[in-house]
Amino acid sequence: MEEKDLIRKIEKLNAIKPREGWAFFAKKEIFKKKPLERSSSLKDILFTPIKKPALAFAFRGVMVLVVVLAGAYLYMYYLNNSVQDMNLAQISQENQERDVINKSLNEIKESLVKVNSSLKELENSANFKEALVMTRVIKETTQRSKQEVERIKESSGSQSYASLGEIEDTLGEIEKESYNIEQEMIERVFEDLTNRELSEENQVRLEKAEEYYNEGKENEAVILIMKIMETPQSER
Amino acid sequence: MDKNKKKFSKLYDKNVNKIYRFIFLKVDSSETAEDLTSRVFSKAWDKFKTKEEAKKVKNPSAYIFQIARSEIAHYYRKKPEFNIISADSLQIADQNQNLEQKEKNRAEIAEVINALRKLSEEEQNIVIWRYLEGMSYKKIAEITGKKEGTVRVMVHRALKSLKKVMEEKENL
Repeated sequence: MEEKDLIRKIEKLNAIKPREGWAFFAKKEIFKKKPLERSSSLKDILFTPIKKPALAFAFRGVMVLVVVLAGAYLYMYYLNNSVQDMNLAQISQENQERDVINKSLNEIKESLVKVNSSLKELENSANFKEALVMTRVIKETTQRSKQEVERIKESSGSQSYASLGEIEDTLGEIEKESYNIEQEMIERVFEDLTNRELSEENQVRLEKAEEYYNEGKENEAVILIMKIMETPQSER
Repeated sequence: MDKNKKKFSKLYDKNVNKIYRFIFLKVDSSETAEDLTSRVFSKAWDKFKTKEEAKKVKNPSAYIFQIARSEIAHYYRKKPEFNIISADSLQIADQNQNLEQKEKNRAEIAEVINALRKLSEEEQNIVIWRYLEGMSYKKIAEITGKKEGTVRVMVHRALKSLKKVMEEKENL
């Protein structure tokens, strides 16, 4: 074999290319990726130690939910992209894969039910700070989960999964429930703090927090409440 | 789009197929190649998104190939065996050829890939960079950290090894 022939053969490898459109979507995903470092407040929320079993359970449920939803979405993305090269054998394989998706969605539903029941237990929690943190984590996760469900729906195109509708409903319920609990918690904390003797600084914080709360700015109100609660009892 | 993002986007467009090809020639499937290619560019973007860090990289394309090499090495630490690639598993660009021509092409490509895989990792890289990606000796020297003269010798030897493997197969 001549060297020229060999080089010509090697050059044929140039025909190897990724699937059409893949490079574009992969680039989009890379740019979408969030930076590793987050704001300290979110870090604080996520790494606050959870001592109550009910809270720990809810937290685990939320984490399972996030993992399952992400997995289901990636699976849908993969399925959608492989439709172009489908043949009969693949169709039967796809049916099996669809079963897996349905199974995953059912798992999501189950996790949601558990999160929902744990959420109800939060109402009775005596530890306001932990309960508030947990409620916020659940709220944030629910919002993200709703976005994931939307993405799954978009990726699935014409295919529809009955459980997606149910999941959306449950997510809506959890969102409403966590919102109500958060409101109730904030009001209980206000009541509790009003009956205490607070330092001048914390008194200002409390008044500002009430003001924010009345304006519908729960996030800001919670930050101030947390600040007051972080002050040791003797210095409050 | 900010300046860094725009720059990286250009770098990505210029290199994505090359990196995919480089990885595909060393792994089992197009899915794995896509996955590893995404990882390579994610890692590169982590570096290039800040101006200060991006400035430290003298040759961005060479830097991306270095990440690709380390990702492949990492992949094989987990999965050490090398499989023979079949013509059917190839994802190749449609060149408006008829079916017969396409099949012939696929078979030839699979033959070269399987022969390439019989070479040492360094020889494989050298052949891919020089004859597939058309890189200069200087650029290969930058990626490998070797002298240009050494690279010339290595290219010559790698091509000779590949020729030997292919001829042995033909004579079977």
